[in-house]
Amino acid sequence: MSDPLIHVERIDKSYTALVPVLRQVSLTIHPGEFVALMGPSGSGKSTFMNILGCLDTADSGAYYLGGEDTTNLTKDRAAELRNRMIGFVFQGFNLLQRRSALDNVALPMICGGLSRSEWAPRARDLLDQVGLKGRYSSRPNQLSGGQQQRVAIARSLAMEPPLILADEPTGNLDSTSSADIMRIISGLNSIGGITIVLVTHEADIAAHAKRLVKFKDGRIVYDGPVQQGLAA
Amino acid sequence: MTMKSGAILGEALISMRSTGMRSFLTMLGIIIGVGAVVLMLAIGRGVELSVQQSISSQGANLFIILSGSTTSGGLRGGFGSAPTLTIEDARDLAELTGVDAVAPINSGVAQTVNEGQNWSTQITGTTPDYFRIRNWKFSAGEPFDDVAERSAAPVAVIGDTVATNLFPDGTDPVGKTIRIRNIPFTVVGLLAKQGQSLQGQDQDDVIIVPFQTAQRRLFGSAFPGSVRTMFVQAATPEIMKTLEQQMREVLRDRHRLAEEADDDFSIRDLTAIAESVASATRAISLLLGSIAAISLLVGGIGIMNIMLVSVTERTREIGVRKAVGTRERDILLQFLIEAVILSLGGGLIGVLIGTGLSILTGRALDLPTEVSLFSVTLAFTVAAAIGVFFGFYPARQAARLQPIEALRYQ
Repeated sequence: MSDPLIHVERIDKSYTALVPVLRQVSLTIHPGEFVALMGPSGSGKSTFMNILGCLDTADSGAYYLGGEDTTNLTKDRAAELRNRMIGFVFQGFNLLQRRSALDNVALPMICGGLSRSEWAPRARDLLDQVGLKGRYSSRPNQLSGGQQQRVAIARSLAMEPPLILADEPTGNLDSTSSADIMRIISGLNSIGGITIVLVTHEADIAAHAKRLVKFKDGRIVYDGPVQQGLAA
Repeated sequence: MTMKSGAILGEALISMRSTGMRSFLTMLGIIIGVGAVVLMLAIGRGVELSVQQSISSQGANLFIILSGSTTSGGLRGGFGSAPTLTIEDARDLAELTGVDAVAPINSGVAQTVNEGQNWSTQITGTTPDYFRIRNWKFSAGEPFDDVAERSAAPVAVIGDTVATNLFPDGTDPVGKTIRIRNIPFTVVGLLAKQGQSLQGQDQDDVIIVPFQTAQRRLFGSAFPGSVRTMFVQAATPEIMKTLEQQMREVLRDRHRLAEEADDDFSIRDLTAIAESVASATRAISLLLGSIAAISLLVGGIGIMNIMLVSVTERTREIGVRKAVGTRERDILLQFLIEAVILSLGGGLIGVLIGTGLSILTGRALDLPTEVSLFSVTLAFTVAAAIGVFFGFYPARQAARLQPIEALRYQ
């Protein structure tokens, strides 16, 4: 098997001294996997996801992303990792409200130092791919929830990251839009070969994944194939 | 690979454009604050200058020296009743360094006649320096000169009130002959209208003749060359205290006064009047300055308000930018550029508007308004500092958060 893309060793995280959110969590994910993280509210799955995305840091333990130890990353290096290695898709979309769809998709590329002549065609291309051809100059408030999430997916793909982290990407969407979004995400994994880690609490969403990791009270209580996990 | 600096500037400009109203209001706060300070201080300075001008028309840096008093039969006369000062005293005083001009004065009231008209007025006999000391302007003709003074020429400069009473039909009095105490005098100059003095005297009801003329032809004197009053003008206000002491020594020396004897003259410093007026002017300037300071404060609070209200939106924006991998430095730079452009731009417009308005106000109110470098610097610095600080500080706080905290900021 190839080198792991994500390797987490016994990390702890707590926001208050009394209530630990994550306790001694370890997990390894290889390139090309499609992993669903499930668990009840407060089980620590979202916190775990944020640590994977270098949006937050663990209190103790080790996290290797693409073989690189992230324990003592400088802020700049963490920003660079987020830019190069990870694409985020959030439940709340997190688009810049006052900017066009094209600007939003371009954001990671501008951060990454691409010039306009480089990012503009690529941003248009990505919006075409998620089915938003011709909506380049629309602002988020002119788009439906499903369309906004497509912009967010296009943005997550901008720097061609090997890893997409999706935190309840369909949480704010109706079932039709949800199905569309999941079709796109699944395609990224099956056709594009991108590793996907998906947080959800809906079984039918998790069913798109191949591997299931269940959280409860800050610990992993199941890690295995998605069918058995959902059946259990 | 890092963000290009051009791209950061671009993001800042696009961001300002996309938050148009907010940017505009922030700028407006700075514009009003800066403009008000510049305008108010310019008006204050204008008031100060205009009062200073009217004070200096009364004569600036001025001493009046009065001759001493007599005592006869137990009755003590007032100052000026004994002719202790002389024309030679005046000449010696004029030698002192720091003395700009000395004008000895003898005056009296006399009846004046021009054809059918007659008028009783104050006749002042003095030297040509007097016009310079009092800063008097002429509306026609010119002052008599030293030659006229030395030769006791029968020439006279008349005030506006005298002119209207002796020449009611409005003829130009210059060159005409009038009679003072029945002696014919040629009018050589007409003084520009002065209005009332600070004491309410009509300053235009005067006739001024050469000192020698007054003494020899009009009033005569038991003591030729005696002087009742002298005006002494100092070069600068700063030397007045020391000059007063020096003049006292010169006069005591000339009058051969014994160590223990009292002065037989009195030196009065007229700057006290000027100072009280100047302090009133300072009060006006201070008032306008406070109004300006309050405008700046209110403008500043407006800027803070707008900036702080947008913190939630900005914090989330910063979260998004961090999530997609923007470095903290680049985020801060962008927000700093925004704050600087808004503040400096607003400050600059404020200075221009304030300057423009003070020029217009100066014209409309006929006030010598003056925009000082100090007021411009002060207003600009304070407004720019407030703008940059409140534009940048919340952004800096947000940029220090973990990205996930910024994203979740409510």
